[in-house]
Amino acid sequence: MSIKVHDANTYLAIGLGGIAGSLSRFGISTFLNATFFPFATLLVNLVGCFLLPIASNHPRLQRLSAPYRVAIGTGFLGSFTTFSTFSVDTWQLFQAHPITAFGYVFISVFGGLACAFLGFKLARKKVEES
Amino acid sequence: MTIFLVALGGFLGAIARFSISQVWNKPDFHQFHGTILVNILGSAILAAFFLLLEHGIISFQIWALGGIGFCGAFTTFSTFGMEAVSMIQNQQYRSAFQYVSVSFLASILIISLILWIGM
Repeated sequence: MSIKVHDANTYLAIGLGGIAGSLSRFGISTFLNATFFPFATLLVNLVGCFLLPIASNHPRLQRLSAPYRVAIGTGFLGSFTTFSTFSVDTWQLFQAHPITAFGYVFISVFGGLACAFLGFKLARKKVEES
Repeated sequence: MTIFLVALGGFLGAIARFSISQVWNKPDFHQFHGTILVNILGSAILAAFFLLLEHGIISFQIWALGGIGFCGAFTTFSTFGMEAVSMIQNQQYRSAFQYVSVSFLASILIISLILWIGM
């Protein structure tokens, strides 16, 4: 899984994945107009946690060449999800509704881990099937 | 225009994150200091952008470029989740706990410092 390639294609692929991921995240946050609770950030983070282990381990995606794989995983899903907005959201929420802030952190962290766990399980099932 | 700026920030943020991960992450040893670093550093930078936006020092366009685009893409929650679960699956429970708590507590602490001083 550790790919140490420093060619320009890899950087370009990650950058392009980053554009797609950032625009998708921005689109979702614009669509799910911000109320007091950061639903958009929660949604992208949970979905991204589920998809990344699949993107990294699914046998069909393993067959793609390295720049495509990093474009999807590191580029797209890495940029689609965000840790900085999660932290700043938490701080803001804490000022207004401390209990809601704890709930947000709890759902994000444990929900994220659960989604990643499910993603790994699904990918492993596909590996066994293939 | 906003879409273009988010895209540019996302392009640069993803490449910057990858470059740092290449140097600092040691996936074969289940060490992800690169991810921890980008998430804490990116949270601090986002807090600074947020502060400047709230004070009207930067425009929404700069926020779109640096905040939504760059910091959003530079930091990552999916890799955070996947790496923590990979440690748990390797029965490195202590490392997983440290990874999650250091990432979260350090970023919240640094954001609080920046925003409490600046607001």
